[in-house]
Amino acid sequence: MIDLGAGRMTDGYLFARDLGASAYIAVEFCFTPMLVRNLSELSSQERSIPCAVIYDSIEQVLPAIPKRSVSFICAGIDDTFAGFGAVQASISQHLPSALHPQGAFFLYTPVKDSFILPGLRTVESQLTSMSVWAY
Amino acid sequence: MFTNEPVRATQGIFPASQLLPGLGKQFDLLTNTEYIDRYHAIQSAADSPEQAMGAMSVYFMTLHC
Repeated sequence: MIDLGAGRMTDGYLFARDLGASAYIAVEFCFTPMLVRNLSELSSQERSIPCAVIYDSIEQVLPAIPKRSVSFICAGIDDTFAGFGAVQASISQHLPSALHPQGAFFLYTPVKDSFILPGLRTVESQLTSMSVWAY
Repeated sequence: MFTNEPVRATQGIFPASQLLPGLGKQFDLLTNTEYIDRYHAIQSAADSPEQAMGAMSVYFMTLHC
């Protein structure tokens, strides 16, 4: 599971783990050291799947992900983020082809309709009390 | 300086290319301590987390643009 814009907290890791992901890779460049620290401080019981942190931008990483290989989380990115346009374009262009055929893309954003995701269909839109769009 | 907390502890964190074969090793950036050292330098000089974030963004752009 790849977490696009993971932030500083371990929520994405715990989400991926609880979904049964085999590994978690965070993509983050603003809060990377804090995220590394927080992941490192998880107890051995909490950290039951391997994790990695990529210190780079979403638009740099997405094109390099092997085709049909992974699932994704993208939570909390909206149009107040200065780089939103580039992120939105990169996700729309590259994510559908990188998504594993049996994978899922969990999108949590108030600007969900900004993302054009050819070939993906929404399978659930209210997984939690928040609106989490799953593809 | 708002914090100088060390973030060296990377126990249990793998290079990304090891978890996702096919992903280039250029994304295994946490193995390059220069990035972390640079972050510490910026963080130490900043007056707030927001200022540190802004400075990091500029630093990042100088690396990739």
